[in-house]
Amino acid sequence: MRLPSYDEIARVEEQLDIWEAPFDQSLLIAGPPGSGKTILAIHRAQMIASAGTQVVLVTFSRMLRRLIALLTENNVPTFTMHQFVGQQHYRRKTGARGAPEVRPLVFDWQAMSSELARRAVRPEQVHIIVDEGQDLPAEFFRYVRRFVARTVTIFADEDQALTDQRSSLLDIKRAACLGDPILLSGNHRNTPEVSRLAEHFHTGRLPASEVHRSPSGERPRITHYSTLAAGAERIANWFSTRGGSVGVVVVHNQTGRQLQKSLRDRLKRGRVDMYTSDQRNEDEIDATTPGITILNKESIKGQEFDTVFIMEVDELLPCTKDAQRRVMYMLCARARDNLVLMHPGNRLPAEVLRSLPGTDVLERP
Amino acid sequence: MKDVAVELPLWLEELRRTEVSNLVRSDPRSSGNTTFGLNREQALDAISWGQADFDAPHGHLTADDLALLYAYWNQKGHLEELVEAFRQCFAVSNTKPNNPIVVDVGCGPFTGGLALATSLGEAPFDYIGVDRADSMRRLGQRLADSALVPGQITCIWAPDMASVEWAQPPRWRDVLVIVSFVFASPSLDVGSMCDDLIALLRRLGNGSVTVLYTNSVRAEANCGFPEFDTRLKAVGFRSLARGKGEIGIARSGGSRVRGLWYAIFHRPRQTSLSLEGA
Amino acid sequence: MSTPSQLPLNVPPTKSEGDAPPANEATALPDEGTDNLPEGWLGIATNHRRLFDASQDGWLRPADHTDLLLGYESFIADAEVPAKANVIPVLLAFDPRGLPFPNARKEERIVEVRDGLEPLPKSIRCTAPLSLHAVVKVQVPCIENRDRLAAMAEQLANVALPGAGIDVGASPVIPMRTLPPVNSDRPAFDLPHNLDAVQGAMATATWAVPRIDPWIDLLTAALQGDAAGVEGGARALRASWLDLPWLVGNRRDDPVDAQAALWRAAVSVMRSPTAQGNSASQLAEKIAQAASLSSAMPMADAWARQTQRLVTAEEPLSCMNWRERGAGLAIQLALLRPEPMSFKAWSKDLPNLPPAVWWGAAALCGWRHGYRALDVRFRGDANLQKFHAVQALKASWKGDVSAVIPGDLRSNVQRRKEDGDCFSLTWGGTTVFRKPWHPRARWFNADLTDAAMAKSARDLASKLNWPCLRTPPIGGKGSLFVAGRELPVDLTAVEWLDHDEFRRQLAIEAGEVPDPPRPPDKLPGFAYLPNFITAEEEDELLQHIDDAEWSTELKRRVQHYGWRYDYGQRQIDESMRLGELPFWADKIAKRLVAKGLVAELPDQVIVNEYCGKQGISPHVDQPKSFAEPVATVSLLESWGMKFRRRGGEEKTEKTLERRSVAVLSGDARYKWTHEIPSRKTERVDGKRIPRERRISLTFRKSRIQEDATSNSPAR
Repeated sequence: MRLPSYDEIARVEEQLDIWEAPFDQSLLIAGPPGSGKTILAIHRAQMIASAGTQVVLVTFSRMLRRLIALLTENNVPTFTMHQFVGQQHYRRKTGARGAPEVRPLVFDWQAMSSELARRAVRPEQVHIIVDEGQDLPAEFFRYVRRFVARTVTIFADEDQALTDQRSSLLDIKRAACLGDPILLSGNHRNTPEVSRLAEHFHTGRLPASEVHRSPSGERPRITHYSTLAAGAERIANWFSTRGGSVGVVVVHNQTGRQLQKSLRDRLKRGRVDMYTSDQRNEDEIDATTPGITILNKESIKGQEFDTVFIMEVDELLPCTKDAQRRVMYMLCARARDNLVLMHPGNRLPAEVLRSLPGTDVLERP
Repeated sequence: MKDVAVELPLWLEELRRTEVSNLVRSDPRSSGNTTFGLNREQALDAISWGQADFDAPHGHLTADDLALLYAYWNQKGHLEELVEAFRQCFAVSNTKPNNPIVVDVGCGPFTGGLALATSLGEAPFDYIGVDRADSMRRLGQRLADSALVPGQITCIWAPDMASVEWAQPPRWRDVLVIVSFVFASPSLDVGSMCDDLIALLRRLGNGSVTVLYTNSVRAEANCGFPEFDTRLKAVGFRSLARGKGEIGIARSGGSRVRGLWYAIFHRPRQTSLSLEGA
Repeated sequence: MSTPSQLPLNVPPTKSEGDAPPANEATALPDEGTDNLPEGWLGIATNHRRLFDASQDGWLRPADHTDLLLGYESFIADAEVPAKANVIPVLLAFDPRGLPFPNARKEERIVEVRDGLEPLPKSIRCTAPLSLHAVVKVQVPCIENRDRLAAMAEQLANVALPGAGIDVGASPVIPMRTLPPVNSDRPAFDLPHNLDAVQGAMATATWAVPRIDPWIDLLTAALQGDAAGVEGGARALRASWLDLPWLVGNRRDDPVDAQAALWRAAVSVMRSPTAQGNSASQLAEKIAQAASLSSAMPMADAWARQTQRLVTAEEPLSCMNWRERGAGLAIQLALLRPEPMSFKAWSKDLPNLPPAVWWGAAALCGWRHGYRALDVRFRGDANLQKFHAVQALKASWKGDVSAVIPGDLRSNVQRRKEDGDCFSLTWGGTTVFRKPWHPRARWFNADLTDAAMAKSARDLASKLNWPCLRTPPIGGKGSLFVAGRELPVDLTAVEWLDHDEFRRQLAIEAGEVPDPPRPPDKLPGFAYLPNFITAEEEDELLQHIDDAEWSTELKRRVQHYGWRYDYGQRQIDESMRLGELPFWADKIAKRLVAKGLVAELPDQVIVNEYCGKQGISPHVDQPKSFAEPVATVSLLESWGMKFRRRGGEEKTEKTLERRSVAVLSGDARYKWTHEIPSRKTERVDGKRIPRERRISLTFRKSRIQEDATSNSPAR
């Protein structure tokens, strides 16, 4: 895991305050993509674990759970909410396997609560840290506070929710009995150049975070590929020269599979993986190591890569609705150092070109 | 405020000469001691000491003539006051704002922008000039576009705060609000101005906000101030300094002292998101 | 609307003067005392933030607008302590001998600060940065604080807490008073502006040094500022362009070739303030410009254009023909993979990277990145950190380094051959750096007069196409005239290896080089049989062993059969007889006899369980208590057993494979000690595999029974 330097952490006083917060203190923290929620969650978990208190990390997506498990080198137990609730229910209810559900993957919180209340289950001396809290239902936070943990630290964004069971920051605040969220103001992930493009797609009331990295001088670039093979050639050249972790976003899984094959043929060395949620192959991928990881736009949430290629970007543009802008914002913010938008065919429609920022932000060929 | 003589920088004097004085002086209606045919008293009367409706033609004067007359007769004093006010304002906090957003409420012909460019030198800032008079904004824009103005200043102009076209996302940038000689205007509704200001600040983001209020010492000019004060405090502002001050003005070798009523408010970065109140 | 923060940070409206920093009294321990501190020690009571900040590069700086006030044999509160619950109070004590107060102990340097009527103790006001290498004590109030401090430091890439360790306890702290106005005390010392770059380059150059003799010698010359030595060394390694960034300024300005010009341009451009925030292609352009100023070569231009194509991924980086463009390649690497953390992947992604390019790029990365931001994993241990701090200061400052960093700093650094296939750098008797040799170094130092070794070397050279194989100038069929008589001959040309050229190629040429073959066995009396038991038998044995009870008298778990062994008295006597061996052990014992591995039927078995890094220290099995051969059967995992010649330097290691048996007799039994090294991993087929659990069964024959009973089963 790439750890920050102290200079990076200490640049913003409130960020430092959160980072240093006593380990037995509950917190609700909000911040946009790139503000370092996942990394902060991991830091806090590792510090607490290293000081000897039991701590559990909980997230929504399987791929993010895997990323956190990799980054913590399995030193901190990490679960998806579904795993965690199922397992807790088993442990607390002496033997009943599987928590009650109203339909597959949707828990029956009411039944669970009355069951646990009847058994007078009390929260324990454990610190639960939740990442991407906006993707989890509010009932989960009520359940955790009432039956599971005395201390919680919850990280959330307000506009990034993936599911229909999502919670707003206000839902989380109320359900978890916490104060108003502390805002993360710093962005430690993206270069200013990447961040400027991401902000072009900003929506919502959380302020865009202040970039703390120094400029790299490398602006995001938009470019085309005549055939998918030519696109793969570009990516392969990039990887063999620059190395590092490369994330490739596709709109269609089919494109991803073709790309994977094409890249594997070209690269003698290095990892070329593709993750899809239906394959559930997240445990076979180590996206933190150098190599290429192909993901669709849903699965890439919470991940970060040195370089991100967004393929088929013509299908994501122009952004006319807030929901579309959120997707583009989130995708752009995945890239630490370099970002390349790619589209098939020679040119983009005029209205798409008009909707994009100028060449001072986005380089064009 | 301290008794220090303020002198405007050469570029600003040059700007006023080329873009204001020369235009007024070379107008065929102007003569040796009149501007557009009006002597000083008549001119100040035409612009109602800065409180006229600058979009309504006055006699033979067009709206743009009125704005130019204002710049000729009134603006210099305000520039001097603001330059001195900024100096003291930055002295209180011991730092100059870093790439701030400036909201100039009742901006006239770019008055706050010119004063801040004087104080900050080459440092960049975003400038939002709000003035209900089109003629004032036109003149302001012309001054702002001049190559004589140092630094990188990005300007946005709007007739009122609600219609400011701010395209950037909310950020953590420092904001400086200038409310200078606005409350003298009898038509002003302080309550709705505060609503608009608070709404605009929310769009700008969560950075620290400093509000600089200046006005004439006349009591009736400041009758809206108590409400302004209450409203700002209700949204987390603290009063850093206020009172009657004097500033020394250096004019043609001599210097004189002018009275001024001022107040400085400050709100630190809002690091927590208020959910229930929003 | 402004909601109170969730963080109870107890920020008082104004700092009350004279208050000691907030001390967490929760579990304050009694004062550990300051008795063992050096005479005249200087103390400051500060906080973890200041400590972290200083630990990034090893220098505690006075904060803006304030000086540091150090108590003379006392702790004075730091002006910079923010009164927050988050903040951990930290006491630091400095050794005055290595601080920029040459006269610290003279009275005139010690100012008595009077505040009203109350005199303050002697203190020193400091305007210069202080080296953390002078810290002799770090103390926090309670154990929770220490744990939290350590837990936070672990999450930071570039913070190495002072090597002195962290004490826990309370010591009296003298409140800070307003300092009298500055008397025109010029700082005795200020950090040179390029210190960070120099130290960064030294650290990455050390970390990345190609682990083969000539390169290590080049590194030691460079670290000592021996510019001529570096110049000669680099020329011998066919990379005359290569100079370490901190020496480039010292080099004679002789006419330079295009590569050297490019290299020097890169070194100067990458640290120029205007290079901040420049992209790889912008930097490349600036470098090419600067290079063509001094050498006016069209090459620089072509290089910049090619770099641009690499930036846009139009072509991949390739090491073809690297000899003509070594500097250009190294700079491209440093430009395109600027993060030191990406070093590790370099050699993996680009296996054809020649040592000169790899090393040059690594040094350039450290030079650009600086020491302060450098990950601690590139910095080595406290000794290496201090060594680099001293050498970097010597390289970038004219003053007397021993006046600002304590200790004897004059020694030269030396390369040493170490046990265990390692080399080390020592500095004034301290080992500052130790790493295993590269396989290339093993070839480099191999005995090429040995026929088998020479053959392997020829094979390697021909596989990698290295120009060090020579053929005799004549060959084929012909006649030879000897004393007037014609003799028909048939000469077959045999290739022979040019040893010097082979060694040079090893040092400079690219290519993957495997380990040379190991020299033949030198451990007489060691007998070994792989697959002595089958997998089924192994399972069965494990079941019996795991069903039995373990003794926990040692750190590792053991089981004794036949005879109990007293680890304290290191012997057995008749009272320790436990009985017959269980059937499953007896079966193995009989097989040992049947296969002729031991002469007498063993009557004692000790089962040892080794988990993770557990091991057993060097020993010889008690000769008095046990007969000569000792047999060990290994289960579950293949671990190494190390042998050292008693009273000698020689040593060797044998892998005891899973299901194998090893029998020690003769020299291996008596003249060599054996041990299971304590380590976390085992090397199997060149890969490091983490250890989990190994079970060993040691079969021995007791001598007691031999004397006591004449009808022992073996007879």
